[in-house]
Amino acid sequence: MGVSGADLHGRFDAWLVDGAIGEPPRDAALHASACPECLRRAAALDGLGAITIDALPLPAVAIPGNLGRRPAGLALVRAVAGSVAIVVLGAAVTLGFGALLDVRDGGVSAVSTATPVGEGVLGGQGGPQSAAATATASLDASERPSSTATASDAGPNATSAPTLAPGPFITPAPTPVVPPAGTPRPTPVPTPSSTPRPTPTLAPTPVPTPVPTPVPTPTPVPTPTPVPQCMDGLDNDGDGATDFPNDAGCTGPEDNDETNPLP
Amino acid sequence: MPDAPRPDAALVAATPEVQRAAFRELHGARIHGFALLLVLGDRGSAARLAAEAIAAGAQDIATHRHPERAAAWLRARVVANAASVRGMVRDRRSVRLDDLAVGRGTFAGLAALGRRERAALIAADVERLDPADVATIVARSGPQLDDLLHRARQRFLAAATGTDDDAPPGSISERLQAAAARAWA
Repeated sequence: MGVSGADLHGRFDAWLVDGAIGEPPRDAALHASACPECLRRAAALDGLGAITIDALPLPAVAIPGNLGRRPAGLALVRAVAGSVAIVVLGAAVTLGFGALLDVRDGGVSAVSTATPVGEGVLGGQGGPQSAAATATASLDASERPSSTATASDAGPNATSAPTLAPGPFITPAPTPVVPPAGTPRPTPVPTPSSTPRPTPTLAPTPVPTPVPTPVPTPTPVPTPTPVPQCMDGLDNDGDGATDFPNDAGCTGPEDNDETNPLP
Repeated sequence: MPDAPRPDAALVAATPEVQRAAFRELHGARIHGFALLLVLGDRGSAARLAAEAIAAGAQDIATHRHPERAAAWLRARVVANAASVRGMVRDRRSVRLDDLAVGRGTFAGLAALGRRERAALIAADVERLDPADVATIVARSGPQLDDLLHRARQRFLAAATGTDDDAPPGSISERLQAAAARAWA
């Protein structure tokens, strides 16, 4: 017999690859029944026949041509998440601005104007009303247009350049401003010195000169004679007697009043 | 006594909505399974492919000149659209072919095939469709279709492993054993 095992193997394999239609050749079937590899291959094709292709549920209703898009549920979830994120962001921004406005309305604006405005970048309240700084200072916080007002106030003076504004504002401010009812408003005028760093370049002279002038005056004040009247060698009360113990008005050398006590 | 309405008359009188529902009911599950095998268990892609094909087929149901070929037309659309599905089996967690009773060895064999080879093998050996339908599904005919099927089976057999289950009646293994027994006798 001239049929080798390889030929039988090949014939059986050809029968399989052709779709295993009908009966396998008799000799090939005899060979395959004792050939582990042939049995494995037959079992592999049987695996395809064992598939139950109709076991899945019906697919969802779709729109023709709408293939590449993601499932509607996922898109909906994404849309909702995006909307929530936008709402949360908006709420955060609103709260932030609300808190900022509350602070300004609550009087902190005075503080804010106080710190930067004095020599203010835009002149702040110093500007034209510098003479009327007391008025600005005494203004109720609710009446003041806050920072925008300070900027606009500075307008006339700072038309050329905002940095020039501080100069004129400062000069009047120092002496009279103090009286304003002791409210913290007046003090803000000098504080602007924090921002002045940039200004010195353009208006250096006016800024420093006014400020020091009031300061030196107090220094002489301490001149109070350290020597008491009762040991200064002078007849301070003009009664003809000088110092202790000559002057009856002196209770001791440290007594600073030679005036005679009333009889 | 009035005559009872004939069933086909009721079907003809059915509204388009009813016809679409019947069309979906008739083809939905099998086209879903075909798509799932084609994309190797990627459930998301399979659901989209099947749903789109069913929707497209149901939309023009009244214009079908050969309703009996609808199964092949639907599968051909799935195969064509599957080409645009990038990254099949991208998410391994979604790979589930247990529902279709696909064994591990069978899955390995299917995974070794190209998209068109897999479609041809599924249509011919899993669904046992008519060769004309298989030709429609893979857009091949004559010798080209034969070559495609041969190549698909060879590559499948090279990669797949058999099952340890007993051969069911009518299976290749069972027919082989029967043929061998007759030869010995």
